[in-house]
Amino acid sequence: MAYSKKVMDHYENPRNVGSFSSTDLNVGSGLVGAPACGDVMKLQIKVNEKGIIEDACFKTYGCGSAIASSSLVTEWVKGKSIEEAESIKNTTIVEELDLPPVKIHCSILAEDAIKAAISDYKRKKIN
Amino acid sequence: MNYFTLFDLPRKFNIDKKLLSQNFYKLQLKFHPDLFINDSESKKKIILEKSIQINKGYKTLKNFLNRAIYFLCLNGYEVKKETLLLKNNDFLIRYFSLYEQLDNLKENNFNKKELNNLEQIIQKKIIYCKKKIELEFEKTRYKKVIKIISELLFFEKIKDVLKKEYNIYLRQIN
Repeated sequence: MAYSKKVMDHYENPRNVGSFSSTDLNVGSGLVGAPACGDVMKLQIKVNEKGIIEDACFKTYGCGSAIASSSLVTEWVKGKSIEEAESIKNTTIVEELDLPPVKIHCSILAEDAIKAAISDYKRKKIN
Repeated sequence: MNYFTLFDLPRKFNIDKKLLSQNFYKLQLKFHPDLFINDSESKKKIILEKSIQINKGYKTLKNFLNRAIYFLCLNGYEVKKETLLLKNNDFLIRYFSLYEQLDNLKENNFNKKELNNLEQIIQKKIIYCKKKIELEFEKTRYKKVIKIISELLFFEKIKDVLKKEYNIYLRQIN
């Protein structure tokens, strides 16, 4: 199976690879995994007082599509409010990266990762 | 007919693998399509289907994971591997750290001691998962089994990745 150009681009030059300290109060971390392919994805956001995502990073162990999906999401959420970021749908990722049907689960994983990061951030704020 | 009945095995998760193989070869001999070339088309079709069922059943029961998923299905728990998903749990944190260990290993040019260590950790986890699945099946705790199957799938994957990465490294230095 051939990857699309956009997937290859993110795969070869992944954006925002790295990690933030997960104990930081303004950092939200999402860690998700899909047993069927064994992929695991960590996505983190740094949120300012206005509820805007100032920075985002990821670390993914998995196939090219999983890496590309998470890389793309970190690009997208930067500068967005948490509400906007929460509304990202996996189908938009599929369209942007031109993912074939067998790789749709990678985009679902990325959507779940950003949602998990946001809910982690919210949970920290309440406590 | 379920595969346990087909291969004349008691309907239990733990099976006698030797008996499975013996009965598989017996059935295969009995229903081999080559033995029916002079029969009618409809008979040939039935035999072919039977032969496919025998091969499929053997593959399903022989493999630990396939058998576990099949046995769950027989007990009313259909597991679609693709829809399983884990979120922010302790297991994933530990699994993620195994990958980080693998990263370190790559940076250290697959230091023999560390490589053996990581291989052993993964292998132990796989054995542990399998034992636990057998145990939970005995206690008919199917939901627990599903959870451990997820974990087992992850460990099998990282075992493969480690092997692949090490082979890539070996090719590079030679």
